[in-house]
Amino acid sequence: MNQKPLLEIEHLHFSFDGKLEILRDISLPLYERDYLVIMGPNGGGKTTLLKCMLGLLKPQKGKIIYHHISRTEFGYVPQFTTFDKYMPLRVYDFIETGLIGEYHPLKRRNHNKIDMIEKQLEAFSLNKIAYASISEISGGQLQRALLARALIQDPKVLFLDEPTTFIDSESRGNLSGILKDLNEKIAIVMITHDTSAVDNQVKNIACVNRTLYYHGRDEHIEGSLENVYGCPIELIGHGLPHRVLKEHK
Amino acid sequence: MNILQYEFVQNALTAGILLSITTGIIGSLVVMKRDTFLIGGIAHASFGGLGLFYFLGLDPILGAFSVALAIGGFIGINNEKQLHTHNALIGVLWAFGMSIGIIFITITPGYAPNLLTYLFGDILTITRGDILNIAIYNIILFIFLFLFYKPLIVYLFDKEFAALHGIKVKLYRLLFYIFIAIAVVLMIRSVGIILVLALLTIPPLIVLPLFKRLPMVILMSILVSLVIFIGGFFIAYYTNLPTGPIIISTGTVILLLVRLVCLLKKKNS
Repeated sequence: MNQKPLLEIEHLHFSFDGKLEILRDISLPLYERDYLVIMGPNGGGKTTLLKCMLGLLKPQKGKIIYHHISRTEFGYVPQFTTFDKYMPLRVYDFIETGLIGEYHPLKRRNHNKIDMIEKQLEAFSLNKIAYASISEISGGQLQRALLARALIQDPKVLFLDEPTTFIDSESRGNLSGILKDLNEKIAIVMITHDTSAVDNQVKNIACVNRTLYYHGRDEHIEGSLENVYGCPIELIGHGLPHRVLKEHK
Repeated sequence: MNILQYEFVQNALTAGILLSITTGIIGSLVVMKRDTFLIGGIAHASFGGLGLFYFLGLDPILGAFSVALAIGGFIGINNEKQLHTHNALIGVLWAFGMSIGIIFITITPGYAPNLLTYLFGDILTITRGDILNIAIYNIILFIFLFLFYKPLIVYLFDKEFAALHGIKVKLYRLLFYIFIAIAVVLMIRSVGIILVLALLTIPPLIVLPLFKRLPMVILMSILVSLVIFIGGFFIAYYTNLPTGPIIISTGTVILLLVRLVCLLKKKNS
């Protein structure tokens, strides 16, 4: 793996109200073509850390250094709860919002635009539901639409916030495949509290609960997760040994 | 006989048509943003300014305008999280605005105006000046939407995504609430405080389950506003009942019917 960092977090502290530190002294690199998973319990500050990386929140102390990359080159798949699913938008319009960074009030004609949207619809098998409202599609389909929107401008880093929460196991498998292919070209940062979302594609794991407990990828992850969650954690996932439980009699 | 030959009827209908355009657009956006309560707060609090200016012998609508702008600006400057924690404060503002409005109007010496006029408005007293104001507002709103509709929608829909893509979220937020505040005052003058809330919410609620795209929702909300407004106006005229309440009741009955039909359709399919 190419070890050139795209961005480096250095001694980052963050607090919403100036009193309670949500994040304490976090240092973390993100490499080119990295596949970084940030794990930790709910309320541990994962999403806050992600928003700091995206530049949506400003840390009180410490800094984030971006190397030859700008925020416009970030793709972002937010949690389902951050946007209003009941907005009257069709899948097509929804994917189009991914191009908003290029919007100019007086230069509105962009013939590439339609091609770009069509390409995304094709790539994420959304053609059939292109004109369906985003409120009437399944979790897996919405997840693909979110990916299509995030990737429409060929970002250099893709950030995903809890992407497995509202989707079924088949969609999870699809997501895993999509991310694997993407990782051939771009870096991926995924936040999750779901240990089963970690598969063998993952290159680095950071465990965050207010502060960073672990970073890297080796066998000691399980002991570290125990520290983060405060209880024993078992990792079950693709590529890691599968466990088959006996049926109750 | 033709009632259309009276100037006050012509004015009322012209204002109705122009206001339907305003409410169809602003109402759709407000309902989508789930900000109806804030709008109620702006409308009722501005009644305080109206009363104060009335007491001071100034144009009451200017008082309402100042308060609405101040509150709209305040909401626009604060972020959503802060406002949600201060949700109850909107309720206080709502009640306090109404109260001091009524106190000021009561202690003003001389003939006291009918308070019902401000609550339900009086479409029959609309002047050419009011119509001009609404027309100017609509033109500015059109120009703004023509240029910035797309970023505005992305901001309303998903503000973090918008911020990430360089949209000036804070500016859009401020502009959005200032547009709302001005619309509210224009409407108070002609249709009254209670009708402001009704006209902003009823048409989009009728239309929302029927259409998948926001431009369609806005367009149909305008049409539905028109139907409610004109229909209510004529019903009120021929039954000799107050216009405002009749317009609201007409809208609510249509809303219930549409939702009932939607419910039955869903059950059958």
